[in-house]
Amino acid sequence: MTITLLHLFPEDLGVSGDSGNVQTVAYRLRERGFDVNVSTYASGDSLGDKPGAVFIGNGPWAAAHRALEALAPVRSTLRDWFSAGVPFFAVGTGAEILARTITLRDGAEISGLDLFPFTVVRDRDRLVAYNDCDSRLGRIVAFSDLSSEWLNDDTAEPLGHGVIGGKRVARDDGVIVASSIATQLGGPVLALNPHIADWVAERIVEHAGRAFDATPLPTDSLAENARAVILENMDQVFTTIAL
Amino acid sequence: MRQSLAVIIGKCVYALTKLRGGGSAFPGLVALRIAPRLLQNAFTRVPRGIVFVLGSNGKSTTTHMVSQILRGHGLSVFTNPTGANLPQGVASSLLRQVGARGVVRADIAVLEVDEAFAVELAEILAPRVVLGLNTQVDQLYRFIDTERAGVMMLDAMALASEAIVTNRDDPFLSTIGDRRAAKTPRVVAFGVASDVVAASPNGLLNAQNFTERTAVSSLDVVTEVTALSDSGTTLRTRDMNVALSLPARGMHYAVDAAAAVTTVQQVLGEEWSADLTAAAFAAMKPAYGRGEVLPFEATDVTFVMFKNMASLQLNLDALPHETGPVMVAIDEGTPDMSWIYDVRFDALRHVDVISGDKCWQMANCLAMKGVTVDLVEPSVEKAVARMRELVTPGVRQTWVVNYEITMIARKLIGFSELASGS
Ligand SMILES: [Zn+2]
Repeated sequence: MTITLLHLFPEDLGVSGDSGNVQTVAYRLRERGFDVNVSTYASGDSLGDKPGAVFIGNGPWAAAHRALEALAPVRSTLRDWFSAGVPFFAVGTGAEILARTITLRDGAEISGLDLFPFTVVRDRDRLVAYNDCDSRLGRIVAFSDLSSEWLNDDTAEPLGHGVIGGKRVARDDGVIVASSIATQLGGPVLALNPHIADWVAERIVEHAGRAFDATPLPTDSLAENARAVILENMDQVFTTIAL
Repeated sequence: MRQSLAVIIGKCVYALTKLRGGGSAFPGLVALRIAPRLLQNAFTRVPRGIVFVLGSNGKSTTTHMVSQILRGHGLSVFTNPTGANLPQGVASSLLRQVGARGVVRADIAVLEVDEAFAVELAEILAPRVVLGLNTQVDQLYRFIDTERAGVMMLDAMALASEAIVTNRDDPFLSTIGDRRAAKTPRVVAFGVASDVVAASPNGLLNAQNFTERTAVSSLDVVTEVTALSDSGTTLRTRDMNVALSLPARGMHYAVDAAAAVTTVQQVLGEEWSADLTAAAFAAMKPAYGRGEVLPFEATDVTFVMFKNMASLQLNLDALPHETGPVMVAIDEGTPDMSWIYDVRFDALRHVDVISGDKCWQMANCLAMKGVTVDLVEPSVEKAVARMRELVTPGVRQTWVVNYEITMIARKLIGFSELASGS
């Protein structure tokens, strides 16, 4: 059995190393003995058969908006997969187009694909910093470059609760629904946090009706050391420009 | 008076910071506080005017090329050192190079300018020619939307008083002609012949333009890269084929050379000489840390700049087949390096040492990509000591390092650092 990881718009939505999330999950599945095939989707392609998981990454809003238009005709297929328990892992603006609605900087509100239970307001000041989050999946250490506010539905569960940057701004991140995650964390987050990658991998394997052996991998100590360095540098100030 | 005061105090601050070890933009910042018009006043007596070099990648190399070609034509040139491309950085480089009156005495000034400050500096300094090299995804934590950087460069390019030099193959910068209301300044372009692009493993790596859906411009392409070899390039310009040696390997250096030649032609007009240009390139050394080769024990080291996805990929694509012992060293000077997952590291099947604060992040990525890594050593001193043990006479080493570690590593092998400005 081959597990297909479907990566949507890898060329256009990949500015936060989003292919690293796909590479990490693929790597961890292969190391556990599964055959993995990564397929990609761009405008005009056919979505293909139901995949083992769907990934979408972060990019310029203009690119995400184009992706939203391209995905509108296949929205019902994506919704069917989502509700059937195919894990989705979505980051940044790629996740925003999967939300209910998006309010743009000019105040206009547009519809998202309505998979994840949150709405987006794309008007916040840039906030760029390292993140330290608690989550029920474990501690998450990451990097984020925020330029929008996500408002979860009342009943929706945030992925994590944590602090961001040297000023330790308190902040909830993302949303977790059944087997799927939408997040604003970068780094890429799954490469830095193999335990979260394994949670995703396990959902994929489970959905395929197989058992997952979550034995740690030798590379985990590398990621652990990388997280420790980020935690030491939480105060790092990132120079940004206003959008 | 303010100008002299600012320059004298600035020079003192400069001397003090130098004692402390390491150049910085701080003296320039101090001088600008004392004399806010420091820069305007400094450049009033530059007869041939000011040239700006903008771009996500290659600014330092191209600024160096433009300066050297102009010097080859007998001009005296004021320029800012690598990376000193913010107003305070330009001011700092000024303090080192001017007399007490704070006036630049050179025929022409060639300045590399940071995208985010390009419009501000163009308004202050009124450049005669502005060169836009490329829009590539750079320093993501500053430019989440690359188009923002592209627009900032276009806005600054439009402020050239005489000529705009742009990149035909860049989806952002090539639209400059559409943005200009009048015929002044004139617009000329450089580009790369399609067969040369096709032969490059990962292409030109310019950022896509998602906003201008029909970015079609009729540009006057005056210089084209028509051939590339291990040591140089051939440009087609002014109905001539001009063969140039390049200071370092890679298609991106050929693009920089085409941009530099086109820019110098705009400055010099009929005074431009192909022979003097070729001679200038033959004598050119790489810009600091950009493909620079330095002696190291019984061999030497190629410094490969680790800056962003596009430039690293182009640098890796340009590596010779035999890389010798390899060190990769990155520190917090590159706080977000999530883009390493988008880089194809095929050129480095093997890495001997990974170092710097970011060594674990790098090692994690390379391990997943199947690149063999012998040693992860956070201390750069120890990593360089390990590379010293790996020296085989005549077998050149390859060090892939970010800007900050370039400075540390150069010092560790006995080369002084330059003033940095950013
Ligand atoms: Zn080795």
